Amino acid sequence: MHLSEVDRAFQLELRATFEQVPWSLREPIATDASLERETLVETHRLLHEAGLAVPHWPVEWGGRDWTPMQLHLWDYEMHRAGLFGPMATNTNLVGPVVHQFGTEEQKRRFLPRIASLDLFFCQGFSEPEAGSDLAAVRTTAIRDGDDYVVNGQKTWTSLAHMADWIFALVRTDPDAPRKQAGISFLLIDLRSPGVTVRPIRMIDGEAEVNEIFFDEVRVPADQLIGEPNQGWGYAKFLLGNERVGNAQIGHTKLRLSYAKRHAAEPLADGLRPVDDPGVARRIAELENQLVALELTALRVTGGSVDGRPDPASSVLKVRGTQLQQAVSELIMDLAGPDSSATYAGEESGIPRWARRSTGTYLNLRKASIYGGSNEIQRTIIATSILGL
Amino acid sequence: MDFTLDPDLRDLRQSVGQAFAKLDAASPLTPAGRQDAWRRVAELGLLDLGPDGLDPVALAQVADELGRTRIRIPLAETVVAWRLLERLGPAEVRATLLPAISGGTEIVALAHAVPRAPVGTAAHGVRAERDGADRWVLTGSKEPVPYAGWATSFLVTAVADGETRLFLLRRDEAGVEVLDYDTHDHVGAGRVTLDGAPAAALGGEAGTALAEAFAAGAAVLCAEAVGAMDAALSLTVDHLRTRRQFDVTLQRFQALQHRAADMCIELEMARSTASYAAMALAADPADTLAVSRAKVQVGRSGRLVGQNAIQLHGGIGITDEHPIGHYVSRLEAVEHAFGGTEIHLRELARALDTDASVELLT
Repeated sequence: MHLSEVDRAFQLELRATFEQVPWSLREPIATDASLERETLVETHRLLHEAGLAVPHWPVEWGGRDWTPMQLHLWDYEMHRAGLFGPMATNTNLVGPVVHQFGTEEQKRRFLPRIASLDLFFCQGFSEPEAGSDLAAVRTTAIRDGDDYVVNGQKTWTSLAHMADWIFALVRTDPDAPRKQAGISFLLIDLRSPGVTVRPIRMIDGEAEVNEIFFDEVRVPADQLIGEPNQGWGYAKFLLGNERVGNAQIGHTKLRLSYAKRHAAEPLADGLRPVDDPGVARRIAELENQLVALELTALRVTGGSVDGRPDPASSVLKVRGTQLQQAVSELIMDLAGPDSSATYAGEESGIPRWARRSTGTYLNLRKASIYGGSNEIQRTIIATSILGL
Repeated sequence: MDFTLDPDLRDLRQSVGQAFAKLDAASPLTPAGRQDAWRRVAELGLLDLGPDGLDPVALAQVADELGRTRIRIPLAETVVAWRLLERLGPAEVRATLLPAISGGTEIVALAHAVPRAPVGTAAHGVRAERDGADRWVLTGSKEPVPYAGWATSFLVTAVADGETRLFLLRRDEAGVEVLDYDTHDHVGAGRVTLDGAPAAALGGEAGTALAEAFAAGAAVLCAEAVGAMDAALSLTVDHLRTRRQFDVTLQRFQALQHRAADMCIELEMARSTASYAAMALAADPADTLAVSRAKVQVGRSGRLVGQNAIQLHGGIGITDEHPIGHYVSRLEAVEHAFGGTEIHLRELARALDTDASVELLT
């Protein structure tokens, strides 16, 4: 498939731009290192200054009015260069909700700071009793004068320990007839008195998710986005966008290219893992599945349009997370016995990619759980696409 | 082939199970907790692997119970060391070292793996040179060496006069440096660097002895993995029975029931092949193909059971704060020890032409 001359020039210009991003910001992705706040913030800042953080937003809020193909190329080239990309919680999750549903005043107040990452947002959806059953959220926000008073607990909050603000689903009408009806979408400053963030140690030793406790936290009422008790609709809109991001096609493609490189490096006996037909076929199969997914992503837009999620985003999420996990499994298997050395330091003779491989594999089990578990996605496919 | 346990083995299994449960309830992951566990295992006589001690079938019972816990002790690794010393060790080494191993005072770790070296019995990374008539010195490094931080001695594979041979050396010998670190399953491993370290040579060419010792170790790990899968499945079933979403317990969702059912099927396949491998080795320690069959099935089963166990637990399944992740992590480590699934499949593929079909009952 040939790109038009215009798109080809567009692609090459982006490629050149992304390849100029300092290696120090791309190396952590290339070598599977832990991601520091500084790396995320600096990457976002560079992209924002170049007008490349929110090209998919409406033009008046910094969007570039690109075609779907150009947006695809932008995303693809960012991953190809090993960039983490703009902070998706800001640019793909809370930003679109604010410009779709927020008041003019809220757009003016928040969108520029969301786009620039001056406010680093995390996502406060899941709760201990509200996982797959997200509408069961119990955290309450009760109106008191000009404020809402928030009480409750969120969990699995990614990067909350790095974030400044949180967008949270809160129950503003505990007496609503349906549990979906009494929910609102509230922006909360994490430095507010009464907020406690506790990192959760994960299976790979990292702490990337957190529990957040709200104890009588006062939040100005004008930080409730859109209308009270309409939050469930906004959340569904947001989740449609999140699923497409969760597919992680560009990142998986980058990781698979690393896997191919590792498989082509001779072992101590001079033979290359890829010389084993079993290994070669396994890589070829994954690469082909990824091709099918990338083509599908080009064919269907996914995401949320006209304020509603496109159920095709569930197709992208399920297959994308399956491939993300399968590639991590491949890399761990290529590492073989070297995959056990998870906590070895730089003095180890085992290359970092191999040392990190099991941690990454275990960590990525999350991909089929978060953003609506893959069981939830299959139910969406069965009901919304197939009409079952 | 008889899969039922005789009364002695049933008793052994029960007492071992009780002892491990008690140790697991204490502090299995601290250094002191691990040493308590090792002492207890020695007291129970489980480290006597001689002709009057535990055979592969009995070892499998012990390992299965071990797999149900978070206790990380070098049971399979000790079996490997024992088999090698028994077969290739000089008489005086066997007379002193084997009793010390079964008493729990000596831990001998095998230093064989080398970063980015192929899995097999050939030595890489360390060279042995003669230093006088009967003395050797070793130079090079080995990594990852499981339990390196805990070992009192190392059995090192090295290239000597062009062939793979085994050497024994004490950890505190001059020229031995150990860098130890934790592994994802908290067994711990390390890098052993040898700089002209003096070592005693064992037997001759070690290839066959290594292959059979690895098979003995792999059979123990297969049984351990069966115990871990069993524990992971029962935690998962409990979770499905108690976790409520959408106003019902998760067990009401057929899609989740079916995942649990698939885990059950995989577990039973693993259990059968792991038992078969142990029985085959008890009859013939050279039957490495039987172990390859078990290793392939246990590897595949372990992955499916582990992945589904986490999926059905949801978010808590990938935290360090819930036991399920420890089982999954251990299953992965077992998969990659003594040859991963793909390596053993290759062995089975190589043997395809041997028989028209696999005759299990001969």
